[in-house]
Amino acid sequence: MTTAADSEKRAGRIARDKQAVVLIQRYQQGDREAMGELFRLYNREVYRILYSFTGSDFELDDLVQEVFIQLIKSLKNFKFKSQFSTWLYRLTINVALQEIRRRSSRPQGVDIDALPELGDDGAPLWERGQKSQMMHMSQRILGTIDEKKRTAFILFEFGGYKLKEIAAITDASLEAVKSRLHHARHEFYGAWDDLRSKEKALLNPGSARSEDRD
Amino acid sequence: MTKRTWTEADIDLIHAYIEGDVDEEQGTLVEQRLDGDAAFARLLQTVIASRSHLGFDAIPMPDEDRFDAMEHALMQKLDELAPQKAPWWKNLLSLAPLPSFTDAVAMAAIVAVIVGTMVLVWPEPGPEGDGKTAKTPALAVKKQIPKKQLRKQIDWQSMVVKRLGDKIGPTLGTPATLSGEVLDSDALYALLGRTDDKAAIKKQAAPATKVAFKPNQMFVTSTNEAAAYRLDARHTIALKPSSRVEVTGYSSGLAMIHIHRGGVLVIDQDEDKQRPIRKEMKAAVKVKALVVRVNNLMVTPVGTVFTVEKTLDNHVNVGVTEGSVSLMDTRYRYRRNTVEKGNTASCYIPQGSVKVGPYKTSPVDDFLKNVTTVRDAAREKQAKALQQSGAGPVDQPVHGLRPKPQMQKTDQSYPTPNKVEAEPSKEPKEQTSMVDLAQQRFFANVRLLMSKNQWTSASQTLQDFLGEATPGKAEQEAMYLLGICYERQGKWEDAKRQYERYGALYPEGEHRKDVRQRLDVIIKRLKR
Repeated sequence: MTTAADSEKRAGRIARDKQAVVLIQRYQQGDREAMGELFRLYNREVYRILYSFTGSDFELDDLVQEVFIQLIKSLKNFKFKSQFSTWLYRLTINVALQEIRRRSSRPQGVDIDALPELGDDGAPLWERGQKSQMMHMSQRILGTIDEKKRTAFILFEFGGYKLKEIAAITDASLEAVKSRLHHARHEFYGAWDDLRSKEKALLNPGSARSEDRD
Repeated sequence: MTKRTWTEADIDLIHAYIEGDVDEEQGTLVEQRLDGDAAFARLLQTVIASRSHLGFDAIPMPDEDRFDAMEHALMQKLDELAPQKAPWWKNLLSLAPLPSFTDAVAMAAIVAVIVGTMVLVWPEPGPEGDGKTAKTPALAVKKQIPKKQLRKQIDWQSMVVKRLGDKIGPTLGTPATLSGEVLDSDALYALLGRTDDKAAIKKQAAPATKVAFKPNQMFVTSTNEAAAYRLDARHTIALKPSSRVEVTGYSSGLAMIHIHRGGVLVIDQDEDKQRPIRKEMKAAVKVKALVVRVNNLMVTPVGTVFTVEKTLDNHVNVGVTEGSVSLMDTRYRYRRNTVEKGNTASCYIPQGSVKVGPYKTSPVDDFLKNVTTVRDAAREKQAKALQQSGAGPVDQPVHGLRPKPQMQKTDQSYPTPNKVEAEPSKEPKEQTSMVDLAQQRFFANVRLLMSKNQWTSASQTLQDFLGEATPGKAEQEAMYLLGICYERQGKWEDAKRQYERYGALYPEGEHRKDVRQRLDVIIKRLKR
């Protein structure tokens, strides 16, 4: 992806990394407030990654905190050899994947975001909820894809990360990332295509309408 | 399922096309293919749609307050994670160079001699000495109560909240995420039916789907779907089918759920603008109670204290699964119920209020000190309007809660926080005729039957009433309720006929909107 917006994002990441190094040094010297600044610097990106992986902001506050707690605990091991963001995002992805595994061991969740929001436009609820249903659908598909492939796919496709960056975050070779991405794309879009076809069939006039389902 | 005709190379081509990584010639080829190949065009749509829905830029970001709350919690955690001060001997060891082997042996020998001497020289306990004096001062260790245990002893109320906090958040005042489960209708009705059979509830309440509620979000139930919001394994709040539920007043430390018709649940935490959440959170205000009211069914954690004023149909059902509750009707009588595990306590109140508090606080004054008042002006207004219109609460206590005049005197001495209930309104009574009163009693009984899911009895009673009813408000109400009863029994044709009759006879009737909505749903259902 080579758009201006992406270049801008990347420049922002580099600048943030430089700032982070200073903040980490301050924290390691005992400046407690530096951690707060570090949190403010990265909280949104961490939140986005967690959201993309888990598919909702249910319990995300706790997960964001969990990421930073793990960061605090392991900060002494950070040797400034790699980029801080790469390290943090790896941590974030691990937390997200752990959460997904934890959730999968419990009853299947329904995300409130996948449900329609109230509006005054008078449109039927099922129409208003279509977007969020699609979001939910995407998450369901992502859930079927292997973790490594999913990680590459989400970071590349939705996060706008470069292949090299993904390779660094996932600690994999460039070729491996390319391969994972290739397979994940095929699986994801194939499954989505199938699901959309099913959905269309359901919404045919002859079929039962989903909003009236009891 | 349509046949997929695109290849893996097509995916790469589409991505390159979207990202502008194709030259002019390739671009033209892609566009030509998009015109002629439906599957290829669909793939493009899919890629664009997935990016727009799942792209990082499309992710709804929480507001600053929420991030502030996270930061606040993190900083607190940071303090907890701060390295503990090392003991003096460790510091000493870290300062001093490590002794050689011979030095260490010498030091150990010296220590052994000192300890041996002390053991020999130290006086033995006399026969009359008690256990305490017998112990050597060096070995006597002061027994300290663990901090956690101490906290449990002194902060009982906040412990209750904290237990909830596992699901809801550090405090209820913070932006919270609630979790719940959708139950099937039978489970809901088991809950509404106030069954005492814990095993039956457990059996029926087997989770079908898990649902997450969060502030400013909605939960939609279809017509005959039942939902239950589960606080934890022991506390369940049942939502009535096709209900709109709002949680308000989070920031003020109280949460209320009002249920209306409409099939939407809204949890709103920004109701109290005067006390922003952030400020309250920084002040670490502990929330005392979670008050949940779902169509007059309340379920509350053990130890929760709250007051409900002016219920719409004078019926409040308080459910606890462990511990005890006290029910109090300030106007007529004071009553306490000890509730064992798995039971619920219900209290019908005529024109009064219910206070629920921990049974432990036996003196009434102490009990009232802890009462948190919840006022619902809109409900009060609605109740008043209904009362004045003749369809509201009646002076007919149920479950043996007869009004006792002598108790009124006693109640007046209670330092009740509720001004409304402190002065019982006599006006509606004076204005109400005997006929109105009888009608009110009749409808109260019908609602009672309905609340117990005795739809057949309720519909029979209403049919009998309608057979003799004269046109008017009462007939209107009876027709409407009968329609609902038919619906609940699955008699769609009868319900349709009833609603159509209502629409024809009372086009400007009080329930016209609801009747129209219900009718639409029934017509759709019958068509299907």
